[in-house]
Amino acid sequence: MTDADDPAAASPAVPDAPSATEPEPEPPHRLRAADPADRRRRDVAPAGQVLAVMVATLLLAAGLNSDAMLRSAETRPLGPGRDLAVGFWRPVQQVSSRIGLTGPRDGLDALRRLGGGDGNDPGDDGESTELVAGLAPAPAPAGPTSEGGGAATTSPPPAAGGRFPDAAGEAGTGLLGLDPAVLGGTDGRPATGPLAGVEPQGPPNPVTTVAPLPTGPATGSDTGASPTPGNPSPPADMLRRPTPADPLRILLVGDSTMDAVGAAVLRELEPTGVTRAAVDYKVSSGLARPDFFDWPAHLREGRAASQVELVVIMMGANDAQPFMIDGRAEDFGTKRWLATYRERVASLLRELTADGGGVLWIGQPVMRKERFDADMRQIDRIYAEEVAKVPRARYLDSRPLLSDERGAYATHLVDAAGDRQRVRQDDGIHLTEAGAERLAPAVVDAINTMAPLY
Amino acid sequence: MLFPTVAFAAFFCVAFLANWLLRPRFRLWRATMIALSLVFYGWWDWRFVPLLASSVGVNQAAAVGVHQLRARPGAVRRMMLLAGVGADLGLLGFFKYYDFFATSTGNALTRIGWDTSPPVLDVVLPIGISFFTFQGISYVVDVYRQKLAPMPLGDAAFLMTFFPHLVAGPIVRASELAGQITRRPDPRTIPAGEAFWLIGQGLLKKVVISSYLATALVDPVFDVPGQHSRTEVAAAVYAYAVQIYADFSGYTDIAIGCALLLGFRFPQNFDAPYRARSLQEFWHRWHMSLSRWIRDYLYLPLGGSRGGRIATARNLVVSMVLAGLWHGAAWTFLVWGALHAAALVVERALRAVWRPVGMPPELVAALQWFVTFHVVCLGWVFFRADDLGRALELLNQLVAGGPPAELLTATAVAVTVVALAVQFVPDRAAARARHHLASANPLAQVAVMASFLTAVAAFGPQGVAPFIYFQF
Repeated sequence: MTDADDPAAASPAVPDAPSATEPEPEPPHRLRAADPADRRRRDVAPAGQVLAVMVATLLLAAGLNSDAMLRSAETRPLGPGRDLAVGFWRPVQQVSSRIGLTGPRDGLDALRRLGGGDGNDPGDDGESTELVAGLAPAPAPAGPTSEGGGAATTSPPPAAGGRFPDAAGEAGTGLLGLDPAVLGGTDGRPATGPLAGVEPQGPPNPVTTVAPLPTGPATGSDTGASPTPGNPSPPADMLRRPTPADPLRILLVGDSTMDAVGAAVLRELEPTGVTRAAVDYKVSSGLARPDFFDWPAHLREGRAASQVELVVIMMGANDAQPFMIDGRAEDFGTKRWLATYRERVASLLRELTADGGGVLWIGQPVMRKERFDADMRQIDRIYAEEVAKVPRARYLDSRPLLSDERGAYATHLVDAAGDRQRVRQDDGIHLTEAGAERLAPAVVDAINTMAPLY
Repeated sequence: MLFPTVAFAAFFCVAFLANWLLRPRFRLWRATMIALSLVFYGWWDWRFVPLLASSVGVNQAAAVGVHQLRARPGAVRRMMLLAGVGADLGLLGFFKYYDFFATSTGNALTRIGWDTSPPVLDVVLPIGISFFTFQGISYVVDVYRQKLAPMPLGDAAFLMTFFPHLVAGPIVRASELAGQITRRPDPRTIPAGEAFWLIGQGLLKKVVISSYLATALVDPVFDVPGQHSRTEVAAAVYAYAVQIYADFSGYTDIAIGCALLLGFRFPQNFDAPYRARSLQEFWHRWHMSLSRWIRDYLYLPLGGSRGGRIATARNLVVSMVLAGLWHGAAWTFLVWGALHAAALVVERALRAVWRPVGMPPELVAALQWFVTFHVVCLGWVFFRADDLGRALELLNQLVAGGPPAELLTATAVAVTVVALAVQFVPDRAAARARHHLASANPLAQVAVMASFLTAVAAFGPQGVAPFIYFQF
């Protein structure tokens, strides 16, 4: 038993926790006295007042935060849960903003952005430029160019300890319930279209053998000056040959899956000495709900600010959800849904490759839940097909690397050394560290086909 | 349900109301609180509710059995005790260690040419199992030691499922809570000031400080140590010391505060641990409910420090290594435990011979603090690293160094330094502030606390990081 919970009290406060030596428990109805020290200082209150204070505090806090609460309610997966949340928060927000309650929080948000905090409000891309600051071209002559771009992450990762991402299975639940689209929200949705069993096989773009490429601009002073992709001679489907003096600038983006995968790829890239890479992932994001997080807009700003040459994308696990088309909720897997989604993928790819940049799109691994896996196959097929239509883009099929010998889902797999390792997390979706490390060499190999790293 | 969420805030208001309204009707109150705790637990995954219920049943059966056999010869009682504790450990072992064991054994067998391996079952770890298992064991053992009579089943169920401590402690013993269940607290004297202060402090630590340091510094460095400079790596190690303290102690602050509002006082769990000037003192200040558990149910039964230097060292090693493995089935936790054990042994030996003659006491104290803190930080490197290789790589980077520090922002350094410095602030200052809050006009309390929540919401991340200790 600890004593002196409150050394400030004149005498050591005696917590009223009875110890084993206490006589037989008394009948339930006898009242236990308050901590004498508390009572002396009048630091106690009656239950009714405490409840009133708690409820009033929560209501006032709800008003003060109602802008953010409404925004996050609106970006939840479409359905009754979202309707309920929006129906609750909209009037709260309207009243609060009318009486000026929302001002302080807006001020704090601005302050946070000003301070370079990792602002991560859905749809708020104001700060995106500094998020990939680690990728900014090396400060001309002085900087040794092999310096790593810090692993800048937009959104705080789900795991404070980083050891057990998504451990509590509530990664998507925000502070004070700000609840973004929950990853893998496959429930409550009508079963989806025909699963043709089409498994995108291998990179649809024939993997070009490494052609002789001009090395980057001569080592030394003009780093960062001229490495614009589209140098004279690389074939249209290639980037360039990076050098230690002029490393390839790579940005890895995606949803929470990119947490582990991004870190593993950074480790795998590091020994090549010819890349500068950063990870920028946003939990619960994807292409289905730009109102939650607008990747195309985010990437536009980030790339402009940091001259990214290659974007590695792994997302889609949050996208098997309905979204609004012309004011109507469209369920996942319908013709209109698929066509719209395909157009989003295509337009993102066009944009990322238009200025000579490259894209590596990593497909989803096989998922434990069959229906969810069928959904992922459908969108994987879209990625693979659209990637094949643009130059300097590759599709990496992660299925063969992360399924068992029969191509089925497996939590454990045997690695090259013959050791069995756990490759998937408890949710049957996310990769473990070992799973990510299984995927990372293939990612680097795929990058190598676009920009020779060795 | 995680503490820092709107769902929990609403849940807690309901629980508070039910608790104080029904308290005069004991049985109804107890049943309602158990039901609410199960809702809290089932919020994660309802399939684990029966597991929790059966853990309660097994421990209660064992406690009653051990008690009823008290007139019988020791061997019979001991069998009963072993059956109860064995069932607890079996449950914990299966859910927490089976897959680790199966893969490790399988891999070892494969290496020596046997191509058979035990089946891997893809076991999902139930939240909080380490905590409620330890609580159950302490209950049964205390009854066996005749320190405690078995509680009525309802009380035992209330004790083990009580939601404030359910998923992440503190590890509350039956002896500490039994009397508080049966004796009704006075609803007119709730220590609300203290409770609100603890909850606020916990939110700040957990939601703002811990999450910020994880994102800004700790995760990037521990993910890819090779990409970072010497200073950055060192800063990340210190920052992780702050992060894990803020995360864990923040969560138990909230737990203790919530329990206070419901009329229960839990034991203290953290007491400025980084102020410690010896490893022994550190363990009196860090996760105190676990340290005491290890001492009373592991270290002392092994013989404690009664059997001479060698036996004491052995008992320390066994206790600390098992304490390490309690945190998870991984070599890194084993090394962490072994490191602490080694440091404790060396410390004991040194204390017997070292007499700091001629040194000013302040210097001695500073030196002791410095060494202790750095041993603890070294332990944290293993605790946090994803595997042993990464831990060694990080330590190597600390010597070898790397590219210039880009992550080292003024904010990150300031947060780390201030959070460490606060541990040296006398408790009196906090107590005075707490008293001001408690004695303020209720309207002022509302204004202050709502503004505080807003600031926490604005400066916290959008997704609450799952609590590190849920997995332990």
